[in-house]
Amino acid sequence: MNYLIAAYGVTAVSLAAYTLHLVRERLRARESASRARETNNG
Amino acid sequence: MRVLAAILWKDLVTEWRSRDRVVAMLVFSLLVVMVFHFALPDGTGREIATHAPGLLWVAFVFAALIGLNRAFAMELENDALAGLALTPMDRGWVFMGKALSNVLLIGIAQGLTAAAFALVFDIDLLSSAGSLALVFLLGTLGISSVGTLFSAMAARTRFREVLLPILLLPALFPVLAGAVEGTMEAIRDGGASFASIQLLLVVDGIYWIICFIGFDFVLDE
Amino acid sequence: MTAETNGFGPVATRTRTASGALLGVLLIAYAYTVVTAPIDATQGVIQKILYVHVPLAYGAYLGFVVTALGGALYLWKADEKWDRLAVSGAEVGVIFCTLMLVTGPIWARGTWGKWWSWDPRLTVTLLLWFVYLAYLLLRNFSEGGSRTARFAGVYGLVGAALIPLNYFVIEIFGGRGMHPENLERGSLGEGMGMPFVIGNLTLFVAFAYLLLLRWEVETLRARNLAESVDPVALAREEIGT
Repeated sequence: MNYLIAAYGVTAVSLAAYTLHLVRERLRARESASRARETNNG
Repeated sequence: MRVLAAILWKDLVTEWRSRDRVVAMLVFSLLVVMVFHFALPDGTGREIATHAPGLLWVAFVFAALIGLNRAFAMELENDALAGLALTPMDRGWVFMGKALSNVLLIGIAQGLTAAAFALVFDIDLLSSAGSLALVFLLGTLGISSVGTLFSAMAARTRFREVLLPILLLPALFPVLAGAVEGTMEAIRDGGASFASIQLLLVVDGIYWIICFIGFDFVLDE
Repeated sequence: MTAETNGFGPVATRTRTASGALLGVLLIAYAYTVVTAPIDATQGVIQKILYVHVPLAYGAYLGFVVTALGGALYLWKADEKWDRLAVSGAEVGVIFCTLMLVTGPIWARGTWGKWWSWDPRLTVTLLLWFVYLAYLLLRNFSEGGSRTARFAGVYGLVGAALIPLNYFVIEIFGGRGMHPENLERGSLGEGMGMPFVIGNLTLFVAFAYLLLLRWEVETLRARNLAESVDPVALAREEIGT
């Protein structure tokens, strides 16, 4: 049973962590884009 | 075709003048044979004979890596890579010239290593020399095709000596599977089976085609 | 300039959002079907790893198909969006592949006591993993720009030939121990069909979602890079020229 939990656990945690990482990256990319726009317009 | 001959000739002549690659490959593979002697438990004869094909090809691959690392080094040092790339029509032939010269150089190192191996481990390779030569050739054709392509790639990256094995070794598994099996059959039965030869031919064919086409994109300057 | 850094338009965005939403629903169904799935007579509860291990496998291989196709399209059309797709496929694919190589041995250890065996499927998966790593390292060590994309495209093609070749090879020569689960013989028991299908569907949608998300991130980064270097293009984009 432990093995079962380990397998699903590792998968779930890894994929969730990766999703969070990507969402954060997207946020960062969007922020730096709008910042660039501001400095160019300013 | 003329381009192929020209590149091939240039490479071999340059190599003949300095002989640095062949010597380096040879010294290295002899050292590897020596390492095997220490790595393996005592005992010649039957036990070593079963492992010999695999070990032999390990030594060959290491030697090939040494040789391939330097394959484009000369062009890089002299900034000649751009010159090689000037004629888009001919780039495929440039690849063939380079790859064939590598086949020859690796082949020479192979032959001498095999001889050393036979002597040191007391294995009879001479009686199946013909089939062995065929298997060696087919294997080397496989190694040289992807080896030349990846060598050209790695030459333009950081850590090129590290990157080449990382790129090359996965691609060599089908080649090695056929080559080791074929070598074992040649030693044991006096001739490689059709299955091994067929595998090697198929792999070589696929690889040479892909590399012929792909080289175009690698040499794009 | 901006046309080149596009490639993740409204269609892709909508697909991404839709798959995200679908994923949420599927995850619930997935959890339910796996928990209520019947327990295997011979292996016991641990057999349920099947419902995560096999879907991961599909993702791992699909990832490389995307990488190879993206690379090939880039080499053919020289549109950078395909290269961005390729690297996204590689990143998501390597994660699925790694997870597959983790769940597989966990399953093996729990059932037969051995972590590893050199049977065909495991060996080819390990090889795929190495090819992914080589691909990613090649990209990392290259100097960037079109050279990286070209090299990656070519390596993707070699890798794409490599995987089926090796499977073929190992089937003929290797085979030191069969993949014990006998999945292909269709020996799924009663009531195991549903969790299997749901599991595959869920992880497929997860793969698609992550792939699109990663592709979007890559596109945004490329756009930022382009615009930070060329404010004129940025200005033009705003004016609409």
